[in-house]
Amino acid sequence: MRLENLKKTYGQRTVLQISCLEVTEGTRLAVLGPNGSGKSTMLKILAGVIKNDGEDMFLSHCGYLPQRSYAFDRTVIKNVESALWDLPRSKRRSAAENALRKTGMLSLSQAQGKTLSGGEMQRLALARVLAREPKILLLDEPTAACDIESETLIEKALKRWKGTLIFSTHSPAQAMRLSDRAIFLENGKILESGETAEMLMNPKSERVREYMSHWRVEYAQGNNDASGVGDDL
Amino acid sequence: MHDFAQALLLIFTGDAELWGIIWVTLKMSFFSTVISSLIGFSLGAVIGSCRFPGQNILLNITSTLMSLPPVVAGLLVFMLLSRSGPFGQLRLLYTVEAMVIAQVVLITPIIAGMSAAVLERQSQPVLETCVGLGMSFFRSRKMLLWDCRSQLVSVVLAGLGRSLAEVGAVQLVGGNVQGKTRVMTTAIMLETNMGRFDFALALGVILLVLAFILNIFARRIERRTHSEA
Repeated sequence: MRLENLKKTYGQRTVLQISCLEVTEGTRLAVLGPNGSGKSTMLKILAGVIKNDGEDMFLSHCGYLPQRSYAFDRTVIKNVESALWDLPRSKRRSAAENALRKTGMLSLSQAQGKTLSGGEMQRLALARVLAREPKILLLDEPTAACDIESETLIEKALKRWKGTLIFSTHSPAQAMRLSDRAIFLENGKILESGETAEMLMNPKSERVREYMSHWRVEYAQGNNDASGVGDDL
Repeated sequence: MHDFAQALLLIFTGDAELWGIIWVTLKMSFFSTVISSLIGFSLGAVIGSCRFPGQNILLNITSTLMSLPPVVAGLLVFMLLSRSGPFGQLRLLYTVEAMVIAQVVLITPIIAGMSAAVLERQSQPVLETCVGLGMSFFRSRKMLLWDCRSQLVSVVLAGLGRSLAEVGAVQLVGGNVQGKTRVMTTAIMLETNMGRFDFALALGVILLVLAFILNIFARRIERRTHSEA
């Protein structure tokens, strides 16, 4: 997959400008960078939520999870079923339950979507996206609103998921746990890219080194195995 | 007190003239609200959930028309439907149909403007989620409308309330013809002028009861949509 000329400008301000980014099938790519670096814009363009300034660049057969997930005004199970409109009605329930099981939300299937906590809502949103069995997953800070338990459940589900994964995160530790490749964005441009471990441990650019200095590598390695939660997984 | 007792008597003895007026009122309000809702929701969905050139102009026009004086709406429809007007040959003036048209002109901007405001508040997260799930333009809008259904029910009831209470436009295009186009509000004006306070009061009581029922209905629907969700 070759993503070329990703560009977004608002007035005079260019928030994203990526000339070329290659993502091979099955890659798990982490998009790192400070606030306002263009991570969300990049994912929104790829998902087709906003238009690329140049040629259309949205990816077909992808599932996108926005930074602030939203629950439709219905039960959890119906939320997932509503994402499966192209499936025969008879098959929707089992597919929805299967997706909810993956994110540890099956026990809450009859709860109202609007009454969920931030972490539960994020897990529901992930289940909804996973239910569609996309080839590519685009996740915008998938655990930003989560407590440690929801974060662990989401990461577990993502580790089990086989397919191309592109996700943005503020956390280098999460990038280490979930990705094999990473890019670092700043001011809408790729400052550095490469294998995640290599890029995080031995950054080439001064800016990335400075950014990573805030992060404790030991923590990420110590939390690599998220076990002990999510009994219904 | 005597007039009030007489009014209650008129209501409970099933006075034919009184109930005839109520029937015409309900028929007119029902059709004008249904038609206005169909047009208003479509317009509201476009204004509240799409980005297109001229959107602000359309929004400003809708907002302006929300405060359109009823007599002006009545005058416009009167001119269109009068014998010398472009639709004169339809012979609709002084019919319930003409009153419905006048009310549609009045109520549609209200429903469009209010629903646009409701949908605009919700559109960003709902539509972003829908796009992320690969939904089409129309499916996304359907999801948005469904998710805002309880607020939209309130919008419809606001339109219906306006329709029931409106007097200027229906007086102009309906002509307040007895047994044909006389509705509660125009009848109250006429009967008050004629000194038949009991009859006017009876209609006033019915109007209040209708408003009360509408409120209960709105709350029930709101509660039911939440429990069914």
